[in-house]
Amino acid sequence: MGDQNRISTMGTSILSRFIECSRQFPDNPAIVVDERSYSYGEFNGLCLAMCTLLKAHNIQKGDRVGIFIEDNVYTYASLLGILSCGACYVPLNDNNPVDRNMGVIADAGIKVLLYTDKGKKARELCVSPGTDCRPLNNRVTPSPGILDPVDQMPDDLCYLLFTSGTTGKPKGVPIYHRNLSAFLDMMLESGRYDFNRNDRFLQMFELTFDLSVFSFLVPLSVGASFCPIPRKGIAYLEVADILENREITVALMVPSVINYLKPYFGEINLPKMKYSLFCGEALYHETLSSWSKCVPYAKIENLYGPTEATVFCLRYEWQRGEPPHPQGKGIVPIGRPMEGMDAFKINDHSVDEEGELCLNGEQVTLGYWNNPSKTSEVFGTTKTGKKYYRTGDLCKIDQAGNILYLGRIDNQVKIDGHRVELEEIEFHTRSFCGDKQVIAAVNASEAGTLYILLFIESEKELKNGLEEHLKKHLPAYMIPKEIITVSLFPLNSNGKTDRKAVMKNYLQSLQGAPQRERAKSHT
Amino acid sequence: MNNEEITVRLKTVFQKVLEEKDITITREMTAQDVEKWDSLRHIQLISEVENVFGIKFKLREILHMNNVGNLIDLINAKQGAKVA
Repeated sequence: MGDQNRISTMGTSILSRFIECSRQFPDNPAIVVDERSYSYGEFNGLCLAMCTLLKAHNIQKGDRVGIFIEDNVYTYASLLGILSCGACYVPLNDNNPVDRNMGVIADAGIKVLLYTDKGKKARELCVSPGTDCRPLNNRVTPSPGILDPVDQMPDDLCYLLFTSGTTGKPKGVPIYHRNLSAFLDMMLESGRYDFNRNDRFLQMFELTFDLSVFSFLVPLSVGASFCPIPRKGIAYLEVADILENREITVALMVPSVINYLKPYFGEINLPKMKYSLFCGEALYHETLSSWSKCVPYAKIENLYGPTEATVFCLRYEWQRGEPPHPQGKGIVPIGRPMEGMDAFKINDHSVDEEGELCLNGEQVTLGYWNNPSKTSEVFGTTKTGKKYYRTGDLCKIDQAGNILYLGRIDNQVKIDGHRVELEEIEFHTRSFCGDKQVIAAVNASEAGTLYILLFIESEKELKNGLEEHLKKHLPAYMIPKEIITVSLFPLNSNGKTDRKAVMKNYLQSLQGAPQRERAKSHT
Repeated sequence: MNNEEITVRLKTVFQKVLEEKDITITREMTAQDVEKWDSLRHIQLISEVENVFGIKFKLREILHMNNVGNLIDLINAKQGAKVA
C-alpha cells in the first residue's frame, strides 16, 4: 500500500491525525466546496480561527456547541474548531421544525449556537423561551499557525446526534472520542483500505446523519480531500455530477442513490473509483450487480451499523459475478463484524435461527443522552460480563458466518437512510386527530425507495391542517407522502388493529389504479 | 408543439406528480420552490414527462436542467428532432 502517502497514527484522536496531515501536506486540497478548493494549510487556519473564537466565548471541555449545518467550508471548520476546544458538536438542520430544533437545543444543553448565512433563524431560536444559548457567526478568516487542541480523553464527548424516538421526542446518541478512535483505527490501521492523500471522497450526507463522519473525517485523517454535495438541487443528481466531475475515488452512499440512478447506469462510467461503499438501507443484489459495471475497478462493500455503534461496524465484501445469496431474499448480506467489534444474536423475539442482532466493542456508546429508561431497554450486559447494544434488527447467520439482515423487530424504517420510528409519526398525528386510531406505514416506489403512508380511522376526511401540523413537528423525510382515511380498521384474532391487513387492503384498492406501487410493505 | 402548448401539458404533469392543483408553472421555477419536489417526485416527474411527450432524456441532460425553462427547451428540442 502506498506507505509514503499514508501516515500511521494507530490509537490517536481525529485531531492528531488531521494536524499531522496539515503539517505534512499543507498544500494538498482538504475540501472542495462552492466551486473552490481549500488546502490543508488554509482549512487548518480556519479551524484554528474558529477554535479561538469559541474559546473567547468561554467554550470549554465538555461543553456542547450547536451548529446549523450548511454546505460551506465554515461549517466543517467549525466542527474541527469545536473538537479542538474539547467540546462536542451537535448538528442542527435549519429545515427541521423550530420546535424540534428547540427540543434538541434544550435536551443537549447547548451553550453556543453557530451559524453562517442563515443567521436569522439561529438568532430567533436563541431568544425563544426555553433556550439559553448564544448565537455566534462562524464566518471567520484563517489564522496563522497550526491547530493546538485541548487534550482529548477517551471518555470526552465528541458529537451528539439526535434520531427519531418512539415517544414522539428525538433521542440523543452521544459518541465519545473512545468510540470515534476505535472507528478510525478500524478504517485506517487494519490494512484493509488503501486510503491516501491522493484520494477524493464523496460527502453526500447531512451532518445530522452519522455516515457523514466517515465521509469527512476519514479523508481528513489521511491527507485526502472530500467534496460535499450542494444542498440546492436534487440530491441523487448532485451525487452523479460530483462522482464524475470530481473523479471521486471513495464513495459511501445510501442505496437509494443507485436506485434513483438505475435508468441511467448505461451512461455512467467511473473508472477512477477505488471503493464504492454502501450503508444505511437494504442493498439489493440486482441493482448492485448492474451498478458494478459503472465502477469497473472499484472494491464494493455493503456496510452496516447503527449510530449507537459509531458509523458502521459490519462489512460484506461483494464480489463481481457472485450469485444472489440463497437466503438473502435479494438483499446483499451485511457480513461480519469489523476489527475490534463483536456481533451476536439473541433469540427471544423469534424462532429458529433468527434473532436480534447485538453489538459489542469499543465503537458502541454507553447509552442514550439523558434517557436512562431507553438506555436500560437496549443496552445490557451478558452473563459473562460482555456489554452490548441491542440493535432491534432481526438477523440470521449463514454457514459461512455472514450475517443476513431480515427486517426489524419493531416499527423502525429507513427513509433514504434516515432512521424513522413510525410511532413518532403516529404520536404527532394523534396529537392532532384526538382519539382516532392511526397507523404509519411504508410502501416502496417503482424505483425501489421507501416512502411513508399514514392511515387514519375515521368516517370523515381529516386531512385539513394535519400536514401543516406534522411539518411543525417532524423533519421533511418523516412527512407522509399520502394520508388515507379508512372508515374502520380491520382487527386481528387478538382484537388488535391488524396493521398488515390495513396495508393489504390499501394495496388491493390500488389495483386497477395507475401502477405506481409495488406490493412490498412494512407496517 | 410550441412552448406555450408544452407548458400547458407540463402543468398537468406537475399537478399530478406534485399533487398541487393550483401549481403555476414558470420558466424560473426550480425544485427549491416547491416543497414536495424531492428526489422521489423528481424521478416520477421525469418519467411522466417522458411518457407524456414520448421522449427519453439522457442523464447529462437532466444534470444540466437548472429550472423548468431548461426542461421546456429540452422537450421542444427533442420534439423537433422527432418531427425532423
